[in-house]
Amino acid sequence: MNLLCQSTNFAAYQCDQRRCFFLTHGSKEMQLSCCQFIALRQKLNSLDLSAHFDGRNPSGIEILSVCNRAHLLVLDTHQVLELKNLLRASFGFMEMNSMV
Amino acid sequence: MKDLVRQKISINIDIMDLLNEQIAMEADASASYLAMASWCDQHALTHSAEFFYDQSAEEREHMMKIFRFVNDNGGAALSPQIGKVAHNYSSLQEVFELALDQEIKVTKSINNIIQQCRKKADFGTENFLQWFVQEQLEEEQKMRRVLDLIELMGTDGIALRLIDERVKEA
Repeated sequence: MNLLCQSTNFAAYQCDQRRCFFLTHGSKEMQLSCCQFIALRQKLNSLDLSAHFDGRNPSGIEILSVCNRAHLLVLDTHQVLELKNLLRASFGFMEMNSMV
Repeated sequence: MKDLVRQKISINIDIMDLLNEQIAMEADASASYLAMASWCDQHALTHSAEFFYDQSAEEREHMMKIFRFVNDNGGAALSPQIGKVAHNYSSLQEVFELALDQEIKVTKSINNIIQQCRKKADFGTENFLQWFVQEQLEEEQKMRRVLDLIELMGTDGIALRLIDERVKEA
């Protein structure tokens, strides 16, 4: 498995043999197909974080379903930002890799 | 390391995001033209109403064209949410001015995506979008022709009726 990116709470890996991605969050490990990995990126990007600060989402909690609802992620504002950055870096790394 | 994402998607992932934004913009435009058609219908401007019904359908076709392109190339197209649509206008002139502004906004967005395609070397998407470049020139021209007519004839008395009749030729 190739490590794509790692942060305090999350890590993303690519497995060439199984042609999939793995996302770890603490002790939780999620296997994602390429489509699911892209869908997670889209879900994170579509989150409106300003709602956490203007009273529309006072709890600041986001619940994301991953892999066709096989997993649920319950994230606070910091974790959403952390995961967004992790995926941005992972896709950036893959883009760099494709140029080689 | 294998390039799994590239093996799955033919288009650049950042370009895919921009295309999804474009899908939402086309859907908004379609909804907006529908509201304009309704306003024209309510004010007995039947030809203008017909014109905007057609425009609305055309914008939806544009949306579907991009939607299918994204999915056909391995990406994930997102069905857009429609924002608030204005239903009140002060005059036919305002309706066409808003329509022209909307078309200019769409043109700018298409041009921006093409710029990004060049930056990311996504020439397939750039080639696909060339059709939209031509289409946008025509769309803007349609609105401009009607606004020119309004400027020339005014909208007092029978002039408004005459303009409405000429809208179908725009």
